[in-house]
Order: sequence, then C-alpha cells, then structure tokens
Amino acid sequence: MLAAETRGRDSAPSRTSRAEPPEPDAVTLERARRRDVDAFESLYRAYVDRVHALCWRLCGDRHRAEDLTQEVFLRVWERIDAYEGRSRFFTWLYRVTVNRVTDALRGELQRTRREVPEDRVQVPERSTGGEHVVMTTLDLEAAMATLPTGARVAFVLHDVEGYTHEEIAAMTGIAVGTSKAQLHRARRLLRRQLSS
Amino acid sequence: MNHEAFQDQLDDYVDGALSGAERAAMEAHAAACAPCAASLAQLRALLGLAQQLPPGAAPERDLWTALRERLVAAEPEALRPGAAPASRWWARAWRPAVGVAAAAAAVVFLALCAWLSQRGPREAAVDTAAPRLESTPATAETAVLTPTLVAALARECMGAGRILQASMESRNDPADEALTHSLTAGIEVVDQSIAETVAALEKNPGNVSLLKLVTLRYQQKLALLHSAMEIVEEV
Repeated sequence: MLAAETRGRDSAPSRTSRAEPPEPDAVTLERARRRDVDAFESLYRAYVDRVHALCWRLCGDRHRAEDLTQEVFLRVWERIDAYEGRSRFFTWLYRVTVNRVTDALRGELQRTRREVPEDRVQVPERSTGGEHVVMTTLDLEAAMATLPTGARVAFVLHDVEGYTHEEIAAMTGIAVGTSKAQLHRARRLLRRQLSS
Repeated sequence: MNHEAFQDQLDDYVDGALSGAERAAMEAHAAACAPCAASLAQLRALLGLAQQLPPGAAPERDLWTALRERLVAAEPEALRPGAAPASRWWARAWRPAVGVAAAAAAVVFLALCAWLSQRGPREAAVDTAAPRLESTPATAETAVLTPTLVAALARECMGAGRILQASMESRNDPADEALTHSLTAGIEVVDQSIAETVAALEKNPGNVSLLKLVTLRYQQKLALLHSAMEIVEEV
C-alpha cells in the first residue's frame, strides 16, 4: 500500500535552496512514535510555522490554513510509524503537508478549465518606494493568494519550494504538462502585476 | 527568433531546460530586443522575490490546545490514559506486569532516595536532571547510576504492552494465541525476577547491584514486547 504521505519521491526537493529547520533529536522522535503527547508537542512547536506557511501559500486562505495545519499534524500523529528515517524528518513532514493540502484542494485542482478568466483575477495594490514601484514579499504573498488554485499550487511548489514538475505531478495527481502550463500561467499573471 | 517564440520558451530558459543552442538563441534575441529583455528581467525578479519569502509564518491563534484534544481522541481506546484493562484472553501478555510496575516504581523511589543520600546533592543533581530511558546505557555501570531509568522502563513496558494489545485486538487473529502463549511464558519469567528483585530492594534500597539487575530485567521485558510488536506488524 502506498501511504498518502509517501506519494512522490522520498527525498528533498530537487532544487530548493531554502534553509531547512534542524532535525528533531532521536529521543524526541522515538517518544513521539510511542504516543508521547509531550514529545509530539515538541515536534509541533519546532515545525508549526513552516507547516502553516506552506498550508497558507497553497490554499491562499489564512483561516483555512490553520485548519489544514491541524489536519497535517493529526495525520502525522496517526502515521508517524510510517516514517522510517530514510529521508529527513522535515522532508517527510513537508510531503505530508503537501499531500494533505492538495487532497483538500483536489476538487479545485481538477476544475482548472472552469477557473476565473485571467482578466478577472484581482490585482492587489502594491507597496511604493519613492518614484519606483517596488514589489515586496508581502505584495507577492497577496498576489499569490489571488491566483487560481492550480496556478498558485504550481507556483508555490515549483518556484517557492523548489519541487520539479515530475514531483508536483506525483504529489498532486495532475499531469506534468498541466503542472508546466499552470506554472506558466502563474508566472504570467504575477509578472503582469509586477510590471503594472 | 521572434518575440512569440522567445516568450514561449522563457520559462524553460530560466528553469535551465533548454539545450545549448536554444539558450544561445534566446540570449541573442534578448540582447537585440528590449521588450523581451525586460520580460526576462521581470521573470528573474519574480523568481528572486519568491526565494526571499520567509520560510515560516506563525498561525494567528493557538492551535495546539484543540489539536492535543484531537490527538488523544484519535488514539485507540486501549491507549488512552486511564483506559480500563482489556478483558480479552491475550491481555495476559502484559497485564500482570502493571501491578509489579507500580510496586517497582515505589520501591525504586525509595532506592533513589537512599542512593541520593549516599552521593551528596551536587552529584545527584546532575544525574537526576532527566530520565535516560531512550539513551539506553552503553554499560551496566551507567545503568546502575540512573535509578530513574527503572521507573521509566517500567512505564515504557506498560506503554508497549498497551500498543501490542491494541494491535492484536485490531487484528482479531486466532493465530495470535500461539504468539501470546509464548510471549506470556517469557514475560512471566522476567516478571518473576523483577518481583523478586524489587522485594530485595525494599529490604536494601541502596544496593546498586539490585538496581542494576532490575534495570536489566526491565530492558529484557521491553525487548520481548518490542519483538512481539515487530512480529505482529510483519504478519
């Protein structure tokens, strides 16, 4: 049986350069495996910000992201025995997160053909700095939230988190070509905002 | 190369997915075409910004309290704190140990007090800072110097027994009876030794050899339970 959180390659994203948090110590991990809630809380505290950020960027809604964050850690609690230590714990946790969120978004990901036309996608106001219009990371976060679901997921997983199209396809259940098309769409929409 | 071809291949270009010749064609066009060069610069700026996004973002509300309740609720009933002992026949595999473990915890506490009084407060403060259950001592001498390990091992045995019980109950496999008979026999031997050692410790709380022995017995019991769990999981 292929568990949901093990879909795709069991390794770090192929081209990410983002810093990963430290691994949990072996004692805490083993205690969590043995259903020690206090040990699990240590894991939760160590990784909740990263998990929540990923949930938020993927789903584009802060409140929904909080619910999904709980769902992710609940799934980790239920299936931590499936983590065999072959990859970094954080890599496995990220896989669980992506799979949980894309499961929740599955219907939206499958409805790409009926998404809002590009000319109706809202463009948020941007920060200004002197004479030049400057897009900050906050602007980018806001702009990403307005993207159609499929485009947002492709952009976050590929350009923010560094997964390949093949990995995205394996995790989300969409075709590689669809992932590329959605990324192209996301970049075009975001560039338009950057240049407007 | 025209503008349209350049735009079509722009993503592949920045992703490094083009051949050498295709890259050269893209670069030649960008050098001669200001709008396409601007498109390339925009895309690079966008990707640079994406890499600058902060890796984490804290939730605006506390999620742990509700999550903790859900974690406990998600546990099989037999694993929850205070769960009633199972009445199934195979529960014998670990239940007899519960009473022994409780008694052992009390006796080990007394032994710990005696041991601390012999060593002095400074030395004791170091060794009692935290239980060392998971860092199983490399030598028997180390085990002797950590009486709290015994109490932690006793708790660990109870937890492992509960997990084993839940696993076997969920399987409901008649073939488990043979496994349980074998396991029960092994555990009864170890429990008997634990009980005798604990009784001896009651009379002589400062005896480090007895502490060493009871530690060893609990480690043996835990190994038995873990072996049984592995067998159950493999079947």
